[in-house]
Amino acid sequence: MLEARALTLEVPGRVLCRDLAFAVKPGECWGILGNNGSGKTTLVQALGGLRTPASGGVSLEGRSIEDFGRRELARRMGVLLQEEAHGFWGNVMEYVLLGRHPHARTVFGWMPEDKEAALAALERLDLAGIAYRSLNTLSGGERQRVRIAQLLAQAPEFLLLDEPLQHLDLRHQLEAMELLRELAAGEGKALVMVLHETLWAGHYCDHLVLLHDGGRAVSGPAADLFTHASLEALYGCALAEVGGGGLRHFVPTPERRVYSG
Amino acid sequence: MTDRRGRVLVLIALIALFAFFVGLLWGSAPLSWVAVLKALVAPSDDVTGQIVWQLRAPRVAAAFACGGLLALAGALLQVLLRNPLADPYVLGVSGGAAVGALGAMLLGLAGVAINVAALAGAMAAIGIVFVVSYRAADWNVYRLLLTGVMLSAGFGAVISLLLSLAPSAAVKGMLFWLMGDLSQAEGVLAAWIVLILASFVALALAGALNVLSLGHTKAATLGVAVGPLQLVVYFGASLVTATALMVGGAIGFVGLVIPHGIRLLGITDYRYLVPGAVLAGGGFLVVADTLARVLWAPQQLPVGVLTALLGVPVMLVLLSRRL
Repeated sequence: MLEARALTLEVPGRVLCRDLAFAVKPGECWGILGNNGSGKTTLVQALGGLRTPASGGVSLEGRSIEDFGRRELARRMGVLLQEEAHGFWGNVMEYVLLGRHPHARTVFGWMPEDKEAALAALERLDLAGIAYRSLNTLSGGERQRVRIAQLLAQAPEFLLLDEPLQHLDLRHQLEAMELLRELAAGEGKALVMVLHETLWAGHYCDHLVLLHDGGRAVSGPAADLFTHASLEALYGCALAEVGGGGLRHFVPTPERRVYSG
Repeated sequence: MTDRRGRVLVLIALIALFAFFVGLLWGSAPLSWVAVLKALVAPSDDVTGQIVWQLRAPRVAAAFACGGLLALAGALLQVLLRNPLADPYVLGVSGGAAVGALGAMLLGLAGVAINVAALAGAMAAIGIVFVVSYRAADWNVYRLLLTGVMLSAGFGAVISLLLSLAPSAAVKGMLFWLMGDLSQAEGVLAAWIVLILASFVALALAGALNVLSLGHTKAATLGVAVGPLQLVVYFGASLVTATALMVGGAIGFVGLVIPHGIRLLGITDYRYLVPGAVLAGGGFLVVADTLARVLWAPQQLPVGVLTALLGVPVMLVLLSRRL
């Protein structure tokens, strides 16, 4: 269980969220929603032990995350970062294999199970065909899928994903969300992801964290929070609900609405 | 893929071995390769044995150690600073050593005293850069890089000042030190010990270095303790660079270009890159130094000039082949 306890996050001159508390259990899929700059990435970093909160803390299986060694933590929790530095010269396979680093048992080379895990991850994201292409030659969407594959190869029980759908086309957005749901529902992993599209959040997330501007944060079951009113309040703009095929989706509408009659 | 990298590595090792032999074979006194092989297998006290074992072998060994050290330091600093233009001298270690060495020469010191002064200068540079740039919570590599570049610029000015103050008789020796020169090489055994130890440490860290090349935050999420690793790499690379400076002065080009040459051969994994760079750097400098001895014999050229003259065309060919 991944737990945020009375978590208060600050950046210089601003409080991002105050006294946020929630617990992510295996099999659950949590979505973090909020405007630009509302602290979504900061929250992911705090949950991943990459940033020290102003107060409160994060614990994994009842143990404070700061008490974990980096390597021990990386075996149990993986993070898909929103931005990654460039500077890797190798190919796709080599990149995905680096996800096995926390599991590496020898200094030299990878064990057969590492290679199997990397290959399986590549196949799951339909990337086996470009396994030996140089990472630098890939398109933005391909690179994003490669990064998800690396996270799968890492095989953590807790996955934090900061905008997992960025750069993906519509089909790959759907495939990625189906894959993530399978991880939670089928394999019992715990997922926390930052999303912008209400369609995906509404359909795939069972719990939500809403980060309002000004430091107010709400968390709870999606059934309670995924409503027209609460999303309008969150995003600060008028939304129109569109639906069909059992999916609920909210799209922004211009404030000046045209009323006929 | 793994097979190919292994084969490339074996090829580099064979070429380095061949360079070693050529370094023993060529010189102002002509020797046949049979005679050199005989002297190697069965050391004797005749003229050939003396030339091979007392004149050429120490020089070749010095060149190999120096080249290996520089290539290793370059490969380490390129990943530490996340900058492909990083070379062993970018953080001011060579500038500090040069100020020490030239200052000692200006004071009329010679021999070991120059090396001691150079070492003191190098240590001062390593210390100043560290103290100014280091923050325990978050060691920003750009601040580290800029601090080193600034310090190098300052040392460059002091070097110019020392050169202009020096009597003209001393200037030539100073220029040789600045360009890199292996004719006065000392401390070869120490250099080999440092080279072997540092290579093993770098190999042990190679997996973590691969992960570090993804960036600090990503490396942390993949289980690398980034702060301690950075400290080991910074001080390790600095020590390696200082050792090379003691042996051969500020030999340029090897540390910047050899790691990239290996990458252009398709080896980007530090598990292969570290041994590849050490072997290629050592072999390359042996060849360059042998040419420095024989091209203008009995005059000796500063080897640093030849590393660039040889290395630039090789790199240009490799670059045009790939891109």
